[in-house]
Amino acid sequence: MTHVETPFLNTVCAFFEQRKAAVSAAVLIVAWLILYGPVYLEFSQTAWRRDENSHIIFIMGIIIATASVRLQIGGFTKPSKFETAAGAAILTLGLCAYLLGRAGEADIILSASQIFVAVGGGLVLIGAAGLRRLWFPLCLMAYLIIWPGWAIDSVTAPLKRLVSLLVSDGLYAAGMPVAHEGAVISAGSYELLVADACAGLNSLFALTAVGAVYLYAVKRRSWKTNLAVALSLVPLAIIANIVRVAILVLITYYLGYDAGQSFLHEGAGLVMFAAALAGVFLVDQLAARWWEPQP
Amino acid sequence: MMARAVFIAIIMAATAAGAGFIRPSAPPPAISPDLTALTPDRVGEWRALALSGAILPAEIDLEPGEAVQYRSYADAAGRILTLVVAYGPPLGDSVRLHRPESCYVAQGFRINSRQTQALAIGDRNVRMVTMQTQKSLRREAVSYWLRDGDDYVTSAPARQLLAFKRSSTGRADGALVRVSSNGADDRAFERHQDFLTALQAATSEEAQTLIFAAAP
Repeated sequence: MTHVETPFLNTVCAFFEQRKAAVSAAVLIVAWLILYGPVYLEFSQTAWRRDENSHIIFIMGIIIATASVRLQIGGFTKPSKFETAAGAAILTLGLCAYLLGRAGEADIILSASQIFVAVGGGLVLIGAAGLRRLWFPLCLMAYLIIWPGWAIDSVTAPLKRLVSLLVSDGLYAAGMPVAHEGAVISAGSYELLVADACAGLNSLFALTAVGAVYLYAVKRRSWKTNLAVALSLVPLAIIANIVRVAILVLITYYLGYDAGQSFLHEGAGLVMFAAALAGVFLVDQLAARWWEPQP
Repeated sequence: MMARAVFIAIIMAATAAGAGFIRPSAPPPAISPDLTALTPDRVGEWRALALSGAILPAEIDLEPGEAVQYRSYADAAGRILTLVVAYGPPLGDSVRLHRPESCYVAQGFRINSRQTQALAIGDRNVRMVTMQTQKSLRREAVSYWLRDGDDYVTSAPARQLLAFKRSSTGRADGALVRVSSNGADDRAFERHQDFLTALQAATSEEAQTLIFAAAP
């Protein structure tokens, strides 16, 4: 049997040989879009538009950016048989969840299936050692899960009560005629519905995500520093909300209802994020001074 | 690795294709129905009042396909009750935010008691939730039902389960009907039921399909 040399075929083969990884990646990206493109399209009209999910697009950008940086290093070892089998099982589970989620219109299952598909597929392709490199984007994928409204409400409802209690009691202690009843804060002659004022708590997820990205970017060596910052994320998000509601009440009290509303719609989110980031930065600096090895 | 990548890609694409077949194809209607037919001027012995002091959620922007109607009624003895009808996707804001468990609590009310029971409203059977609520000295009795497709649901997690059971022929829309009145009167819930029965008699068959599940 003679071996026929065709320059063209050779060129094509060489092209693919060199770019196997790139072609594989392209094929997988296309498959991902076929699978999740319609889902994203639907989410962009429904779930992603809700306040409590406003961070998802932002998180997706960070996931894609960090994952692609980490994947470009290359040099993955071939997965073992065990890794292949485990990955295939997780991938199958993910795809079954996807089907279940689409059949039942259950956003939570549909969005969570992404994690299983990514982890399962990743295990089959680059093994556990490869996945370990992707730990950060994979952890961030938890933020892609779309929780049902009643679940979010049950978490934020007690927090809303806490925020309105602390704000009204704090301002009352400072000598202002502020009181609250349920979710209604009355300041002087004005009444504010905290349902409005506390919509900021929907950004609880987004605020903790910002903190997680901060931790990843700063790369502290001491696990104590990292833990301290991670544990402070939720309290800081709540404090940021207290600041936001307090400012809203003060503006309404001193400058009137309209001024308060325009703050609510324009500056409030920014103030809240700035307050939360400042808090994260402060905790990080303090923790680093304490635990971080000095150069 | 490339063979594996292609294999995985094919499985993923096949799953996406498979999903196309099992996807229930009953999108909720995009046109908001006119709910005024469900709040007539006269309901049995009740007459509509000009003003409504209903407990409502914070202002919400209605999406296409959602509608909300409020109206207060007084009976011959002058006892006032408030009717709220919300229509839309069961997980949408109009229905979700008007659930009394959300909006009474948001306005500072405490739920003192809550019961679920099957009730006859005229010739219809619904699963009704009744609640006694309180905000300092003010008490309100609330009765409501929530239609999700062709079922009645009484808890939020139950609604999620329902989405799986719903067949492709079932309706994907929902409606909330809520009656509330002042006071801790024991007979309040009976009056609510009488009112809803009168409402059923006073409205057209067509309007009723919006708020009642199809009879099994």
